[in-house]
Parts: sequence; C-alpha cells; structure tokens
Amino acid sequence: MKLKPKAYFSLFLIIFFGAVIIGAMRYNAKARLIPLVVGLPCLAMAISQFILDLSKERKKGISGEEELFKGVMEKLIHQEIITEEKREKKTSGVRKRFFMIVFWILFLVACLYVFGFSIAIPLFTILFMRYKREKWVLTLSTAAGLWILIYIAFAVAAGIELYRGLIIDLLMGVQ
Amino acid sequence: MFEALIHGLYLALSWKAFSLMMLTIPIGLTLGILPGVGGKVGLAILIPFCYGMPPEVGFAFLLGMHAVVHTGSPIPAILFNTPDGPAAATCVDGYPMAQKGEAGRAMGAALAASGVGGVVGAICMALTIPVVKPVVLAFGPPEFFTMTLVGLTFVAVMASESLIKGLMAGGMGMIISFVGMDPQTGVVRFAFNQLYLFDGINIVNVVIGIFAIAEVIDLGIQEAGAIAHTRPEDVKGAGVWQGIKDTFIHWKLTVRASVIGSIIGMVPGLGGDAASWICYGHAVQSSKTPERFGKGAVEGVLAPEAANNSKEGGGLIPTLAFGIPAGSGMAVLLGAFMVLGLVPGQEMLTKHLDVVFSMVWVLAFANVIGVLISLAFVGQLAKISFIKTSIIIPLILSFALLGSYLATSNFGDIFVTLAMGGVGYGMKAFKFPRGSFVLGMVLGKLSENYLHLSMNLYGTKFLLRPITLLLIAIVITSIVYQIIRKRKMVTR
Repeated sequence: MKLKPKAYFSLFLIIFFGAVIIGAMRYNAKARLIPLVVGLPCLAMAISQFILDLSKERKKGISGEEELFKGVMEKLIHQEIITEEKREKKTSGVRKRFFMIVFWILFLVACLYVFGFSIAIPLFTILFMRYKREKWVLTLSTAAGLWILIYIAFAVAAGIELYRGLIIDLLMGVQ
Repeated sequence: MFEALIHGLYLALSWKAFSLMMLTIPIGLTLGILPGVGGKVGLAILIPFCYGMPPEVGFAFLLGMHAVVHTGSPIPAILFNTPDGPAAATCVDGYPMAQKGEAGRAMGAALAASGVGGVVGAICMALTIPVVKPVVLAFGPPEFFTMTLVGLTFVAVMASESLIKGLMAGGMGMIISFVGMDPQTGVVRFAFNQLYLFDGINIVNVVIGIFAIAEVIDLGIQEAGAIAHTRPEDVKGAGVWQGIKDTFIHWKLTVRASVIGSIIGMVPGLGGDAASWICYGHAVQSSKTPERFGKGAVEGVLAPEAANNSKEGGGLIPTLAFGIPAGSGMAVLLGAFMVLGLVPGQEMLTKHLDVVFSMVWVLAFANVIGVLISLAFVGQLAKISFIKTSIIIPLILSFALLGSYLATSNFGDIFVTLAMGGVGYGMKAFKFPRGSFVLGMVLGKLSENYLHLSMNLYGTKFLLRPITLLLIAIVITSIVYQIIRKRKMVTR
C-alpha cells in the first residue's frame, strides 16, 4: 500500500521518538529519566496517530498531494483565486512550486557556503526575482537595497564579520 | 513597586531603548499588513540582533515590533477582505463598511481602538504584577516543575484541534532541548559525536526554522503574486477622523473589550483569535441594535481591534511570572529571554522588576506611536499589500539565514535552521501546533532542572505538596476535558 504524506510524517515521528528512546537507554539513570518520560508516551501517541492516519486515508481516499498542500489550497480557495472544481488540476502546479521553493532555499544555502553572505544574498535575489519575471530595475534595486541594508546593519552598526565563503577562504589561504 | 515603575519609565525612555523601539515599530506595522508573515516570523528574525544588548534595550527592540503587529493587520482586512488570524473578526463589519464607502471611518476606528486596547493592556499588566508577585514568591522548584507541565498541557490542549498532535509537538520540542551536555550529570546527550551539538541546539535556529523558513515555503507555493489586486479607495480625510471619534463615543465598549482581551491573553493557549471573536460576540450581545452587525457596524470593528492589541499585555504576565507563555508569539519571546540572559519567574519580579515595568511602558508607547504612524500614513501603508511574494521571499529568507548564522556564528546553524524549517512546514501542513514545539523547547530544560532540584530537596514527596497537587489536578482535568470535548464533537 502506498503511504500518504500525512502518514509519512507520523512515521517520521515514530522513527524520531524511537531513536530518542534507543539513544536514551545508553545514558545513566538520571540522564535518561526525562527523555524516557517524554519519549515513551510520545512514541505511543505517534504510533496511534500513524494508525489513525492510515484508517482516515482509507475512508477519505484523497490524494497525497492534496493532503500535503491542504493548507495552501484552502487559502487559495478563500482568496477566490481558484474554485473547488479546479482544485485537482491546481494541485500539481502547487507541487511544482513546492519543489521550486525548496530548490531555491537550498540554492541560497549552497551560494552562502561557497560565496559568503555579501555575494550570495544579492546574487540569489537577482536570480530569484528574474526567475519570477520581475523587471531588471526592480530586481537590481531590491538586490542593491538588501545588500546595503545588511552591510549597514552588520558590518557598520554592529561590527560583525559575516561568513566570507569557501572561495574567499581558499583565495586567502593561497595568498 | 512605585520606584520600579518610575525606573522602568526611565529605562524605556533611554535613548538606545527608545530609538530601537522606534526602528522596529514600522517593521511591526509592515509585518501586520503582510498576511502569512506575522509577528512570530518578525520576532524570529529580530531575536539574533539582540545578542549583547542589555535586557531593557533588547525588549524595547522586540516588543516595539510585536506590540504593533495587530495595529497593522486591520488595514488589509478592511480594505481587501483578506483576514489573517485575529483580524478575521474585523473583516465581518470592516469590509462591509469599506464597501459602503466608509473605509476611512473603519480604518480610523480600528486604529484608534487598537491604540486604546494596547494602552489598556499595558495598564492591566501593570496592575496584575502586584497581585501575581506573592503567588510567584510562594512557589518553589516543585511548583515551578508542575507549572511547566500545566503550560505545556494548556497549549497542547487549546492550541491544537488534536490533543495527541499538541502533546507530540511539545514532546518533540522538549527532546530537542535535551540535545547537548546535561548540566546535572555531565552526560552529552543526542549529539551523535558532533562537537557542534555539544552545546545544544540554539533556540534562535529552531524558532527561525519552525516559523520563518516554513512561512517562506508556504509563500513560495502560493500562486498569488500579492495579497491585494485592486486599488483601495482613498482613506484620508474626514472619514478617518469620524472613526477616531467613534472610538471615544463607544468608549465603554472599547475599554470593556480591551479588559476582556487582556484577561483572555493571560490564559495559555487561548490566543488572539479567541480574544477578538469573544469581544466581537460581546459587542453584538451588548448592542441595542444587533441586527446592524455584519452589515458595517462600527462597534464590530472597535471591539475585536481593542482586544487584539490588549491581549499582548495580558499574555506577558504568565510568560514573565511563571515562564509559561500564553501563546506561540509569547513562546518565541520567551526564547529571547534566554538570549538576553534572563530567567522568567521569581527573579523577574524581584531583581528585574524595573525591566518588567519597562516592558509595560514600551507596550504603551509602541501602541500609541504605532497608531499615530498608521493614521498619518494609512494610504501609504495600504500599498504594502501590493508587495509581491517575489520580493518578500528574498527579504525574509536572507534575514532568516543571516539571523540563524548569528546565533553562534557557525555554518552548522544554517543546517539546523533548514532541518527545523522542514519539520516546521510538515507541522504546518499536517496541523501540528508549532507554538507547542517552541514551548516544549523552552520548557524542556527548565522542567528537567526543576525536577532534579525537587527530587534533591524533597524526594518523591514533592508531588504531595498542596500547590503541586492542585496543579497536577489542573493538568489531568484539562486533558480529560479535551478528550470529553473531542468525543462529544465526534458523536455530533
């Protein structure tokens, strides 16, 4: 049987609390007391939630995507952007946007790691806004504004040295 | 007490605290206007900036923003019928008023009532402190341990449609708080031999991930470019002034709603939605012409808006006195206590009473200033609703990741924030209360410390102390009540 996202989340909780209990058993009695007091009932609740999710799925028969994006779909319906009839068709679009935004977040993190904050943030802003088909003037002014804001708030006002990125570190190491 | 009140005023008016409060008020107003972002995300992003600030300055910085979030929220609610949380009650009469061509009046009434509500909330908070202080001073570690259980249960029971989900969310948060070195035993727990995790997971990273990153994902998958699509009518002029006058014509209702909102704000888990809807209901019930409601009655705007802002003052009481946040926003604020090196409870009401009173003053000042700014720039503020998500996302994401990095200046912070963002989105999508998670994280370590202290002082007999027994009874009653209520709902 194919599991739905809701049940996957409950399964994640079972694994999480299970791992906590197994991990806690290695500690001495005092150190494991509270983790076990919290973990054991939570594991029992996660199992019951998993069973509940499985039984609800059988009754409702709604698609997994619809379950995962239920909140967003409800919001869109409330804003009268889509009607109930178009719901199913729109779900796949929402799924695509979900993967895109996750990609963009991971892309920013990768950029931060490689280029550091001062390059990655304006670079990400430009690429993201251009992907969203914003005009060049707005895109560049937003990126510049954001960079100036961060520079003033951190480098000037707070005197904080931000992470410089792998490339700068490598270059400085070479020098 | 009076001395602390005056010293609190002095602290709130110090140039650093006051100027930082002035800086964050516009941020709070903007966040209130942008549905889906909200005060919790704002707090999450601002908390990292507080490192190294003195407590009174840090709280002026954070409370200045948090106090006025609900001042901005009626603007899109009235003009575009786009409710977000507690402002939904304002839509019921605010939007019909706008449709009748009375948008200015509705805005004036909403903003003035918000201001009055905020000030009354601050006064309620100041008046409650002397009442709560002896109660808090009578508490010892056993009572504080059971109070943490009461807080967790209340929020799990009331903040979620499912008791199991609420309790599991709290449990997850508690487990996360146990990561790292246990100060009682010296054992390193759940660190997977990673040096980074030996000091534990920073609350700032959790809060940013659970709220800000999850909201960014949510904003990213919405199709809408901006929350508003049509130009609002002009809201300047005589209409706004009439709305302000309405607040004082119906001053009894405004003050009553503010007091009710403040009291509701003190109950952990009830939250802002309950305060605004209960006060809306009160306005309908106490009106001689209830048939006007829903068609554009100004009282239907005044009552929920006054309650929305007054509940923050009430919510600070359990947060400061017992370390039990009244809602998810207060749970996030409780995280700021740790960053600023303060421990809620007895110390707050004895050693740091002046800081507590400075919060009262900040609440009052921020509300008044926030309303004045909103009234002066109401037309311009409405335009914030037209900001597209393609601009909001890079802004929030950049500041969120920057803020999380500042927690310990380690790149591992960003990975923790990302992981928490994934968990936060899962919780949001499957309706697990994220406030309970943060509360669990905040109370986890505290409850463990109080338990060990209680065991060392009294052994297992600490459970038989009268107040402890009473609090345990409250925990059991609230769980049983929720189970019975749920069963009744199912049978209906």
